[in-house]
Amino acid sequence: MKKKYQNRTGGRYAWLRKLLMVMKLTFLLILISTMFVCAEVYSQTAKLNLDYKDISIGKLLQQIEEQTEFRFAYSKSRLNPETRVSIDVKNENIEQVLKTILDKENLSYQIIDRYVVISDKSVPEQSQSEQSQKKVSGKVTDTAGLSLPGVSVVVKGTSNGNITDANGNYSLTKVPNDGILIFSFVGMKSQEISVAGKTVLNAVMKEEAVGIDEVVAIGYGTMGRGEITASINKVDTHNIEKLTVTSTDQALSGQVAGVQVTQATGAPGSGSVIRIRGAGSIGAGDNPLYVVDGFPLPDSYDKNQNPFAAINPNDIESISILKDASATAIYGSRGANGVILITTKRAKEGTSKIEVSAYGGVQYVPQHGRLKMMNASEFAQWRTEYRYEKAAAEGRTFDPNEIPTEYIKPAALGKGTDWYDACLQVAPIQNVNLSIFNGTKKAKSIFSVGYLDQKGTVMNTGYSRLSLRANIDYNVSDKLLLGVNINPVFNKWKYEETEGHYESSILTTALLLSPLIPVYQPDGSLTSHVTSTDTFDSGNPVNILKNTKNNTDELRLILNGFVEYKPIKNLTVKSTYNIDTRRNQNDYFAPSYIGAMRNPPPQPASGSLSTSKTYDWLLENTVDYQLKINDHKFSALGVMSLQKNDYSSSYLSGTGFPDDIVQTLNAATRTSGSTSAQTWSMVSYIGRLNYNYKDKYLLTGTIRADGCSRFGANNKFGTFPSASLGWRISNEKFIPKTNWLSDLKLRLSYGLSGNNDIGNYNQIPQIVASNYNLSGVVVSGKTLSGIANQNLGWEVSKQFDAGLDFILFDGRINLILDYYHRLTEDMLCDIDIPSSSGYGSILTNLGKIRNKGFEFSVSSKNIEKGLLKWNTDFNISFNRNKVLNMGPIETIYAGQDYISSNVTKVGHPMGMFNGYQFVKLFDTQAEIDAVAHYPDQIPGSAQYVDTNKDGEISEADKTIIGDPHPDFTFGLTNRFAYKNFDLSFLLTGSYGNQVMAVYEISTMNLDGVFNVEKRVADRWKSPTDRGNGKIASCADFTFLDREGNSRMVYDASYIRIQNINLGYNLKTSLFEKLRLYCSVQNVWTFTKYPGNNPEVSYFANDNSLSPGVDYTGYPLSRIVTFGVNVTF
Amino acid sequence: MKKIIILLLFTALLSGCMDKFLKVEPIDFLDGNKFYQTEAQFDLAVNGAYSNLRSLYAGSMWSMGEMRSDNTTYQYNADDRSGADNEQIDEFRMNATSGTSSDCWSTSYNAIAKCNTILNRISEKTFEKKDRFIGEAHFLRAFYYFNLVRFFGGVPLITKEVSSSSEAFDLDVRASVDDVYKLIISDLEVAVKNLPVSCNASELGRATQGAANAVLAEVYMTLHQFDKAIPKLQSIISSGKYILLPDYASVFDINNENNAESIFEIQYIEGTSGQYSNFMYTFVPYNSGTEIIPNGVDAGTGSGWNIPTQDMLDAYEKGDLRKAASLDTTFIDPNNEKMVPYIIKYSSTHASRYETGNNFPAIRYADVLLMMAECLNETAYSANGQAATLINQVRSRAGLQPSMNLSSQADFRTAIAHERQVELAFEDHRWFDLLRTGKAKEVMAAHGEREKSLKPETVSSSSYSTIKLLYPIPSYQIQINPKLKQNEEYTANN
Repeated sequence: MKKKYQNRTGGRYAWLRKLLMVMKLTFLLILISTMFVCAEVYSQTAKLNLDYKDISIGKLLQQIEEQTEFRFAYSKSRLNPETRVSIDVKNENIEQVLKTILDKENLSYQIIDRYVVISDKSVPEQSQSEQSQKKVSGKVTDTAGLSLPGVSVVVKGTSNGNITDANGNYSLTKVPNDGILIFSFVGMKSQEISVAGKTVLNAVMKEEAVGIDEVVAIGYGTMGRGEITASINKVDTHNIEKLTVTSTDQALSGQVAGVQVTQATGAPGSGSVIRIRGAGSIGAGDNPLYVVDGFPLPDSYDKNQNPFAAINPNDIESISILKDASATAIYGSRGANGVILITTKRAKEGTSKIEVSAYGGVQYVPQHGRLKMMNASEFAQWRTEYRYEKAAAEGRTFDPNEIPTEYIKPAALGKGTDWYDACLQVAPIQNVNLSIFNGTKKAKSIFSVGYLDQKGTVMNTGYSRLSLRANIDYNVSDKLLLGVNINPVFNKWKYEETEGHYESSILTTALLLSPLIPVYQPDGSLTSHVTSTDTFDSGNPVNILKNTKNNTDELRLILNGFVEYKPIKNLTVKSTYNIDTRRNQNDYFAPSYIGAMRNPPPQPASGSLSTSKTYDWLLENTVDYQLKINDHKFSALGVMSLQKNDYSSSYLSGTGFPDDIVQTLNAATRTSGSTSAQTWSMVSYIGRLNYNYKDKYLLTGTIRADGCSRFGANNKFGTFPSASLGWRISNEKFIPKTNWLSDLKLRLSYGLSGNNDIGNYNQIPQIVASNYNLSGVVVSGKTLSGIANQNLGWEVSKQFDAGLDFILFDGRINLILDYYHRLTEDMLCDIDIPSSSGYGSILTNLGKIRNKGFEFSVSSKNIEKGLLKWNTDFNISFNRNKVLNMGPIETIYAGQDYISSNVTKVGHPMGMFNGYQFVKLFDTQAEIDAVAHYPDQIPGSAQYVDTNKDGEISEADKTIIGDPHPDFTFGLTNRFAYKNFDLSFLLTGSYGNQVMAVYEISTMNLDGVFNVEKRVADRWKSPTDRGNGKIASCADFTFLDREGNSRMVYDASYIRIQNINLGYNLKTSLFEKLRLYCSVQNVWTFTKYPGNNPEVSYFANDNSLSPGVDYTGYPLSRIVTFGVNVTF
Repeated sequence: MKKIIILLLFTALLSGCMDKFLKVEPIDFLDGNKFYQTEAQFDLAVNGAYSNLRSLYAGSMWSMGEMRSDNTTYQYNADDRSGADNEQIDEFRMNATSGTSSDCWSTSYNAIAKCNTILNRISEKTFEKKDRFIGEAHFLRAFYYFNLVRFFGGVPLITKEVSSSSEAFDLDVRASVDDVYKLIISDLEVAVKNLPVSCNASELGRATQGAANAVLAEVYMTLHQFDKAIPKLQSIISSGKYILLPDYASVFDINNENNAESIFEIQYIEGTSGQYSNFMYTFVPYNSGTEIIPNGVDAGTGSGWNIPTQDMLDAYEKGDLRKAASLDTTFIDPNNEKMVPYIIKYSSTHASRYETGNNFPAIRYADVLLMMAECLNETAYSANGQAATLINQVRSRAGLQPSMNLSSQADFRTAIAHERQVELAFEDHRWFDLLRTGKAKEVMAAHGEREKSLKPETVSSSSYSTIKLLYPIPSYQIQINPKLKQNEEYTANN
């Protein structure tokens, strides 16, 4: 059976194998050829064949550029490119051709290597001889300080000119003292600078009217900013490169309106939760799709393992964020949560440079934001008072002799041990990158290597990454382009259990341990048991951290290869083949002598080894055709795509280790293991049509049909259309040309996109093991694990977007406004069904969720001239989420760990906090008897609202007690440059969101089994000594306080100084660019929230249904680094 | 241009095989649509239906069936309050959020669904063991329902394979107690007809005709139709398949499992196969450390449960051999210097920590004899008649004198109840016996008073205040389906 299947596959996909082989060969050839590429000398004997009637000069020069390697430079004021000419030449050289065209126009030209500079003939060159003339040279750079090759430099009014070389240098002879040099370059503003007697004249070229001509990746192509009709934001690396972050997701924080980046945990190498325009799905994922150089990576979000870990931030050229349906529909069934397009750096023609960057620094957990736990004397004091209060409540007289000896003299105990602090360390971080760019006409390549080593601020944790990248493009001919990207990455994570409540998290355990016990014994050994009278017996967290091994190694290799062919003018055919393969291995060992909370050592040692392997491939064929008829511009795109993903994993575990020395599983006396494998496949057909009339009216229509193996037989294919409209209002005649309004565009879009982010086999009823034993021997048993849903289909998101793009004051202010309305329907949702069916839940399509919102972003060049430069980027987003319908279910409880912290109900936003509403503390028994209460409540215990008015307090009274969703979030970046200094700082913030501090179940636990927060001293002691009125009497049974309740819900609005970066740019002849800087990450957070991180999300992997829950986790660190960037 | 045409052709060609490309077969599990075809597959499915017994009896049955009665209680653990759920069950303080009763509910219904699927899919098939499979599926379905109806009252009556979520919601309404018993009786009748008289030596643990008759008899007794129970019990006795073992302790000996006294036994084996029981660990004092179990026990939620009460200790007559075979009274709690008795019926030496292999006796011959005695007494009391012979058979094995000259039907009734309490102690019969005999409220109220006076510091004043005969329907089930109604005892105004 198996064999037959393989044969069939082999036959049917033989062409694919062949193609693969061809591609492999191609890769090899490219590799070899690039090694031998050297700059060619362009032959002056190039021959031209031109036959045009009534063609504009501009067009004609463009034709020549296409046929030859000549590049033309001309100041627009001198040559009118619209002038019509006719020409008919065969096998002529360039000089002859130019003469034919330019003589009539009274223009002259000069040929410098392959560059042709055209200037006005009317100025007699001789007149210059009377003036003093000399040589002028200099360097041309862009605003970022990078050298610009190929800039034309011409003495105004002459044909005397030159082109900057690969390093941006030029030199001109015979320049009059009072001459003016004109610098011009495509996409940059032309500049005129007077020589004024100088011999060295440098120029800084600025981009022309920021925005309009900017090229933006849009998914299966690029487009000029001005022509885009969808809601797409571009993040340029120069905006984020100064944030010394270890991965790009962190850099996106606060950069783009509508993109909420939540740093759920501070663990090194962990991933942020990214939501584009809110969460729209209950049961399927809410993570955006990541597309790297055109390759949609398989969904892989995990709180611990970041999807961005594959990509060295240093290799990224730009990031486009596709937000509305018009933009995302081209990714069809995976576009519903937005798409993040990442483009990596490629070399440009004529560049040859080496970039080196390195930074090193320290990370530490700020004191601000740590929980204030009782110290030893406070704890002993509390344990003593507790006994008196308990006795008083029970009406007994207390015998002071009952006080345990260790608590008798609190004051003498001093501070004792701060276990939390004992688990932390100041940790180093270092990062080195090297990139080599080389671009010639034939081949362009970039090779880069990066190494990051980040130790964790929690002992024995950390992350390191070694990444390599080669991006190579090779022009076989004018018509054929080959390219390959090779990107291997080695990741290493060192984990410890740092998230969750005390039973699973060492850090939470540490908060709760008795401060009376020292970390180390007098002989220097680690204390093994940590316990005092009343408290749980526990292992020593420092011992646990130091001696638990939990390491993950990953090797990931991403390969892209493409062949691009232009058989005829304006038609591009492209075929790409992509592979993403990952090998991952986790090694775990917990020795017998460490123990845990409530399981003090010795405990049986345990070890495990788990591995996983992913192999994902994508084949895509693209046809692109451009057509221009007079004022009508069309472009059409067709794509056929196949993607398949194979995943397999294994898990081996062992116990019964005779010693703790040999930790491999061969030493275990009992081992068990399992392996599993999964696969999914997808077929897609894509079409897109753009229409542009006079750059005024823009229209885009997109359609994608996806078939996916994940869905039921009845719903395999889904079709996702979208349309959008752009109107360049400022190009209308009735809009007067003014200085302040450079560009105004209205965008409208509507479309569908989908979500297939569910498991691979949910439509197939599974048979699982259900064994029994007979006569003392195991007998296999099997059973259905659930009800299959053959109708399982796509989740669909319907989105309307209206936007306005303003460019004001000649590009100095760039403003984008967007309103959107996104409805998610037929949500993929695992709903609980009555257990009487025999099953717990079923995956189904149901319900409706709405996200609507408003986004505003502005970037402004406040001061541009002089020594001081200042620009500002600001964005703010407002999202409103509401569940409109959930089919037969009324309520979804989520965040189930210790309690059920979140609830989703129709008519409310997703994932609201769930619990009792606290009213006050009862003072007297009469008060208790007068209202609904829980059996046996005593004075000093908490009164909760009897929500259902049934006269008693029970589970059914839990209600919505808080909202984790912000009213708005914002980001503000300011960049200053003064002389050689530059300074930037980034603020991010969120307003109106709440966090449920579920950790208070333990840190405010009045049973006495844990250490508690200092403020427990402020508890209710008697009707006259009520403390702060919120903390119950410790004489009470504490069950009610350990249930989710509104006292745990805090306002978590915050403003964070995310980053401050101060740099100094050194001018030296040795380097093209040298920048030294100091950067501080996570500088300060202004918030009322008592915990370390107001963005915390314990359930980050299920963030939409259970956001904003804090069980205490890996704290956010402050990172101070010093670095250097060198280009030469 | 030619190349484009070729490319387009490729694309067109590909569309043809897309369906195949998209059809991804599962690799690491069986496709349920292709299962339930062969005899071997049904054999596996039937084994699956038994497996829930294992988790039911190790999970919730001892708490709901024994600890709720006057036989056992718990050892108060001040350090660890996380087992409060089971304490509430013991002391009649429980509410509908109880995890224990929710486990019982879902484990039982999961097993019932397995039976329904087997019965649904087997009808069209023909193979040798078909009758036996039909018999087993009916037996097990009845067995699970019988526990459910006694714990919860009229429960949803699911008798077919549920195939969609809407069906799951539609069927989730409570049937009357009568209707549930109707199904149980008809299922057991089918089971009696189809089950073998005994299983071969390699399949000990499967249901037999005897097991089905015994359950059916207990069903009739629960419905107070004692006359209908008698022939069922008689057929077991006269089958000659079962005897009372001469030594009471050997009935529970791990080396003597599935012995001649055993009629239906929940099967466990020691070790890592996931088939273990850990009664021994659950039932020892939580702070006994390594004193009782040589392999060592962790303090915590796992231990200190099903601790024999003073009432239980007092129930044993002097000289009753069963006491020493059932419990131990030598452990002294270091916290308060008080003796904490604990059950030893399920203790054994074992190699693998926590994972003991002791079976749990669900029905044994002594039970059948006592049931018969009860039926005879209820239908026609006769002093020193056959009923007395039966009871004395059980007593003499326990080393006790025959109880003679019980002067009335009522006295005899009391004697049987007492005999069952000690003979079947810690075998999850006591609570059901109290319910069946209508004594639950009376016995438990008196027991509650005694417990309160013995342990004022741990048994709260609200304990045992209302003796509720049913368990609450798990609140989450009502939350997801409000059509399912709560038992009156647990609704707001009660």
